[in-house]
Amino acid sequence: MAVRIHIGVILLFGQFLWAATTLAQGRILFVDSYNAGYVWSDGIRRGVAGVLKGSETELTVTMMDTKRHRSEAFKQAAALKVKALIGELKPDVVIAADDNASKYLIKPFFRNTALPFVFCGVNWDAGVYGFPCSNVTGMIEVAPVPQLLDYLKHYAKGGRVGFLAPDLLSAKKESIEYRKAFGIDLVEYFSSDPDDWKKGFLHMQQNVDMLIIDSDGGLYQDRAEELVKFVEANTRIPSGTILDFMAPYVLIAFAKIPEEQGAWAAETALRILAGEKPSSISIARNQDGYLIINARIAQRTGFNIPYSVLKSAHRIIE
Amino acid sequence: MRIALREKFLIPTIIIFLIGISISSTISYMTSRNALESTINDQILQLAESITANLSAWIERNRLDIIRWSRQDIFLDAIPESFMGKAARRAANSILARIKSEYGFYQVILVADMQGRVIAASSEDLVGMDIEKQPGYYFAHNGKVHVSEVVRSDSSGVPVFSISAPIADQEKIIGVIVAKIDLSYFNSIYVDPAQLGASSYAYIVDSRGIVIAHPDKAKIFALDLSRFEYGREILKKKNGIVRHDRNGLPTINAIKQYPQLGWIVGVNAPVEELFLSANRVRKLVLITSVLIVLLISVTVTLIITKTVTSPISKFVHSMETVAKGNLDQEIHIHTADEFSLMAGAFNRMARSLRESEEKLKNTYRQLAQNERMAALGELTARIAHEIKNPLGIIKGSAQILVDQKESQEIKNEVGYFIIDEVNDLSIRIQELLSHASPMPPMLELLDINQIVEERICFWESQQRSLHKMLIQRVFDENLPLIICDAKLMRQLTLNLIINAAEAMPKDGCLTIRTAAERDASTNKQGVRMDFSDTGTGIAEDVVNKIFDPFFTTKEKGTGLGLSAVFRIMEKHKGKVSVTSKLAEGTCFHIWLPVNPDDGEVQDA
Repeated sequence: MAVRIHIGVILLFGQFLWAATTLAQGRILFVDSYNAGYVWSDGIRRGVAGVLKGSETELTVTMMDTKRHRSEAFKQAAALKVKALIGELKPDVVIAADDNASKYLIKPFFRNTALPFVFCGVNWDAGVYGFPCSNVTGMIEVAPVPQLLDYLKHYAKGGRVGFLAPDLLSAKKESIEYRKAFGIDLVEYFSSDPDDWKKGFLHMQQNVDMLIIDSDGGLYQDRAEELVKFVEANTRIPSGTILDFMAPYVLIAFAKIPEEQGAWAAETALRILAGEKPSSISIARNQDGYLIINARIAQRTGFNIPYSVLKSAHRIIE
Repeated sequence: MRIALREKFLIPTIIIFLIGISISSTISYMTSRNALESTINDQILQLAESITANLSAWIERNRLDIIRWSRQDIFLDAIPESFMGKAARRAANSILARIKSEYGFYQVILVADMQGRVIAASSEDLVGMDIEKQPGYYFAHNGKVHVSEVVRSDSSGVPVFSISAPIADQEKIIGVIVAKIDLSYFNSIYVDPAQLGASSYAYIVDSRGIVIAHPDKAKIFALDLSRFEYGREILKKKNGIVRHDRNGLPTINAIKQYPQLGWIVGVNAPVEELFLSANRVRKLVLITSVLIVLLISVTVTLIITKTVTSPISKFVHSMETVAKGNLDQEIHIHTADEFSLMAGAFNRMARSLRESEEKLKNTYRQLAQNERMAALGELTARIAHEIKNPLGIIKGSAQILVDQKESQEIKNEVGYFIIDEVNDLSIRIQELLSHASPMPPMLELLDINQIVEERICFWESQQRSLHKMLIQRVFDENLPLIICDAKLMRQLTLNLIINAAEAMPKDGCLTIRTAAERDASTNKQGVRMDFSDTGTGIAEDVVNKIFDPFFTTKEKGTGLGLSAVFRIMEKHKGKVSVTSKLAEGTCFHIWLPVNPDDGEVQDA
């Protein structure tokens, strides 16, 4: 099947509009809540593009850029602009990546309309946006905590799980989601600063069998090197994270894969173009993960990571 | 020796069949044996080739396994001194141990770095060992996959060889994998059980002739074929058939070389054992041939009996029946061969004989009638002759007697004439009556001497005027009494006296002897009487006819006197014979048994 792809970058309403045009039977509009260059968003787009590469569809990409512009007004305005674009392009299916697209575009303007929407990257629960509904389906994004714990428990002496994060609302919300989604009884420690974080780390070494370290939220970036050395020197129990950038702090990182979200959304869009109704497609949950083994910590702690695990790892930190 | 027609057919038939079947069986056996020999050679060679092929496949598969393993990430990853490398070594140890356990024939599998240090092994205690000096390591270290010669295992003593391969990362050799393989595993599956018979076996020798596989484990590494002539021939020939004697018995060696290593796989089997089945075939052919011959012979016999012998037997039986006089015998054969024609001819012959016999009988009856008529005529003529003269004499004498003119003296003389002639007539008539209607003897116990004496007296009283014959008596006073018919004995005695008197018309002497005597042939007790006269004797040409009825050489006589003597002797189971000499006399010898009805010997 011969496919010719023309990609253009369109600046629309002061934002980047990256339109990809293909000779296809259907038009797909991809609405990204964030911006090009944001690692997560780039991954989702790669997943979408990878699936649609072999299809005869016309893909147009637009970005709301709400990661860099976090005001409510901006987000609402960005959504209106996308709505206008939809009116102009008249796509057959719209893929909406991450929460803001669902929250500011689909929920207020397109729920239960004729235009099919496939969302992805929505954290934990799509029900807050009224999904599913007659014209909307998609894949929610959950932390792969069970998979992470599956790796960690091979080196743990018991079943107690600790959760260490800065004292942020998002972290606490994440902790709640863990409990709610996976039924895990967490021993939490929310640090007020890097030193408190170290304190909490040591506390966890003594009081739990496995430790999940959440994002530092960028708050401890300036002391990152120090914290890494501290962790390497003081790790006694298996530790893990679901964030790839936190891999230097843990034994094993099992991160979400944005490409999985994008690929699933694109495949679902094709199914809808083929005639299926969004309402007949159940909302899915991410399954894959990105495995990173921190050999430095493993060697120091004496954890023998199996060769098969190492071979399946995407990256080994040595 | 009489040989039946059936045997005359059967014996040559069996001989012909035996010869024919023997020849065909021999040819068949020889052909089968040649074919079998060729097949056996092929088979034993195929067995050697099969083992070689399996050996080749086994080694090649192991070689490919090791090459494949040498390219696996785990061994590539195990070489570097890294976190991954260490994990890979641990995993490699486990995998190699599992391979060793699962495959069963790996003694040890080692992964070594470029310094010859073992970094992973099927047995962890080997990790750290230095294998730099081992030849397999040398070749693999230099980038070659190498299969070593077979050596005796230091640990188990079994024959082992190693396969080594380089471990390369992007064309760069970073390590070596070496597997030491137990050849006895292969032997136990392919060599030891390989047999074509009870005494056959397979073996493998290396390129030098050292036995590295053999069902007799004591020969492994101990037997060097290069020390034997046949072994050198095997090493030289490499492929094909080599024959030699084992324990004095000829054997066949089928050999096939595994050229990659120079090893030679051989299968040795005793020739006798290989041809066991051929010998069975030979016996089977022999038995079958004999059975076929017997079957054919029986069949041929039955056919011959039915088609030839049986008709001939019918002919024989019919001919014997015909020979016995039954000319009504006919043969009924309804076949499409000559026997049917012969039967027809026989039946025609029998009919012809019947007709001829009938004609002959008619002719005979006619002749008999004629003969009887002739005899009757002769008898009548003789009676007429015998009666005519006496009657003439009597008539003439009677005329004289009634003639008044004749004197009384003459009348007296002719009166005796009449008496003599009447007596004579009486005797002759009695002879005729006796001959015509013989009576059964009335047996009683009598004294022969007394009867003879009485008859002599009677004759003398009757014939005194006619004969001057002197009768001399020589009686045995101890003569036993015998059982006989008195009347017939008197007739016998009188007939012989008359006969003697007629043989001596003028004068002479008749000597009558009696004596007790056993018969020489039957040893029966009896009485002998000899009537010996001095008459004219009997001519030699007629002496055999004197007892025939009506035979006589005299002018006067019925010819029935001696015939009556003969018949009387028959009735008394006695014997009569005559000895005579012309001009000297004749002697009749009479022998009578004491009891004619007693078959047993009776003593006097």
